[in-house]
Amino acid sequence: MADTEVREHAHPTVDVYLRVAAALVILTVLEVGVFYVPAFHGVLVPVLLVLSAAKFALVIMFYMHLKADNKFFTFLFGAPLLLAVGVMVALLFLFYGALTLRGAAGAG
Amino acid sequence: MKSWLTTTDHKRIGLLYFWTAFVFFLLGGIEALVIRLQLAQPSGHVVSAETYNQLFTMHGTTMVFLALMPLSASFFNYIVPLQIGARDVAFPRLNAFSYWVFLLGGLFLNASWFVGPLFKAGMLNVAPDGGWFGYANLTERQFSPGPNIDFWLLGLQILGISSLAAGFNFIVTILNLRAPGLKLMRLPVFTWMTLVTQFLIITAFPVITVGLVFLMFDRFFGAHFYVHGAGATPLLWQHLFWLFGHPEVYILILPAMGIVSEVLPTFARKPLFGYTVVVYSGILIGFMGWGVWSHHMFAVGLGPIADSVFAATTMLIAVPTGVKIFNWIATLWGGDIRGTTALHFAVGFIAMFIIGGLSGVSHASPPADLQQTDTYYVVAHIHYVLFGGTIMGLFAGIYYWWPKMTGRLLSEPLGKWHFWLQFIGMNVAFFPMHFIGLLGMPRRIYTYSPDLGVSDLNLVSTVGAFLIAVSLLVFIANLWRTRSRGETASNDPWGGATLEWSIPSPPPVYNFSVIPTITSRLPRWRTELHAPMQDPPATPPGPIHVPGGSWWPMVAAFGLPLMALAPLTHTLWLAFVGAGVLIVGIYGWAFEPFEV
Repeated sequence: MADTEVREHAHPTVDVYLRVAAALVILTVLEVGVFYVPAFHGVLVPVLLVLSAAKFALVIMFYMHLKADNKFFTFLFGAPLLLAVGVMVALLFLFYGALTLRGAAGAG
Repeated sequence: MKSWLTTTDHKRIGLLYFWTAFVFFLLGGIEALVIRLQLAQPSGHVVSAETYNQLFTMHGTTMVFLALMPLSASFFNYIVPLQIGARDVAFPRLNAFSYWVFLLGGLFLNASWFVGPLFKAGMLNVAPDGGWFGYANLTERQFSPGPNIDFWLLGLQILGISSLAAGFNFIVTILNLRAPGLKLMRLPVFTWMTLVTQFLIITAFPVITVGLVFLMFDRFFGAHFYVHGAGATPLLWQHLFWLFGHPEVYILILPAMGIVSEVLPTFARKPLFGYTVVVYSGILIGFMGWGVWSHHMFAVGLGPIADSVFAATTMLIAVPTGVKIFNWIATLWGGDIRGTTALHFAVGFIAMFIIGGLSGVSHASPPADLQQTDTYYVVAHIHYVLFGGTIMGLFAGIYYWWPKMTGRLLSEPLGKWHFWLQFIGMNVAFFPMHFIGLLGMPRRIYTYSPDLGVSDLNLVSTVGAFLIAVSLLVFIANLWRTRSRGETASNDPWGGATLEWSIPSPPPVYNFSVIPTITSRLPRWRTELHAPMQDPPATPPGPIHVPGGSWWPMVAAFGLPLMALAPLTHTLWLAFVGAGVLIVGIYGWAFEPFEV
């Protein structure tokens, strides 16, 4: 082990893992449920995105240990993730022509 | 023989990578020579148009995926664990798996030269022929009905698995296996650039994999991800390919930059000028490399806003690159310079990379780029970057670390011959291509008219290519001579500052008899604040455990080309056999005792 940057960490207890699993189940039920609630139909996509982001965060924080681990690993995970999101957004704009003079002419 | 086939020792795997990649490098070079023979005069008849398409496709694919990347990987394998004071990589058997997958993927791709008769075609008829960029919709079944593109898309998927496995392995190795005291900002720059490169690999290869899987579905299962007639667009492929392709350029050049950053201080007898800035520039290049891909697509007609954004980002990425170049020159400035062959190649790298970088900046301007796109100007640029840059840098590394890897010094006089022949040869071969391109000769055409006015320049270029071939013969002679008559290398023949020079040449299987504690960025040099480290003792004070050999990584690796044969031959059961071999290999591997 080189220095203080990379150090052994305490694993969450089984109890914590089970609670996170329960939270994931509840979030999944909510994801399925909102589809059947007419009030959500107008905002279905943002709601589903928020719920799936919450599940994603729980998985990487607890099951991938980033919450308990050194912050450096969070940076190593987060920086490429941000990069990927940025690239995806740029690609979507490019691909659908929103950044071109063709405007709404469509893909390509 | 068995010990080499089952080895999990990073040093042996490094040598396996080197020799395998070097053979592929020669193969790619022979393909280039045939291309140059064909173009030596107008209306050439050395090869047919179909064979020419296969030659330039396989030349590009071979050089990028089977020569340059794995030659860098040979140094990642051999040198990085030594530079960080580790006994091996984090996952030795995964490392062996990466090598075998690479070898089998390379053989799978190159088998396409010879297996034409199995597909009711002649020899030299079914090799990939759609360019190393594989643009849709040329690659769709409708326009390329033979197995050529299948070999390419399946072979690249196999090679991607090798790169990804190695990428994760080296990231974990560098982050977790550093010797005590070796903080990140004390890492040698080569190890730093290796780390950045591995992050680029694990982020960029999934993108090309997605693109290739889409293509595979188009070709084998009737999907139409790139079929315009079905409402899709071939441009999706271009975006996916260059999203991978531009970071790939940095995957190829950053290791060479790391090598040069090791060679220059050693032979200028000065610490690297601006270490921190060089490291951060490398990281910045890694990030910015993701924001420039559409400069490969200006000719598509992306519109003025997108063109402006990508022109700006492309010009901006020249800043950290230029910073590195100034730092290398400042490292040499006022140094106690020893003109070894390694230093010649390192300085040659700087000079040639500046030319390649400048022609790259000229591509950043969309109006200029529209004149250059798909002409030989771009061929000149890529060869100044990847031959003048990466190859020169890799040869600097070979001459620098060969004594550490084999225990013998390469001949310096032969090395100088090699350098000058290669240096002159590459400039004679590639510099005229700037003019050939600007005069209007498109790339990827098998012949040209004498009326184009580029016949003499093409002949000069061909002469240069053969001069490069002669230089490589000198290098091979040097390798051969060194086997038996090379001067024996001491632990530290160059007076290097980094950890690998503190142990015998070649190192024992356990590398370090005692893992050193690091207190300085230049542990073996005296600095204002630090005395040189004490080298580890010649013999270890106690027994040292090293991982034993294993057949399972190789067994698992065999599963992948078997699976790839299934779609190629339209034989479903082969997919199950391949998957079975892979699963058996992984299970055997997982349950094999670590102590062997």
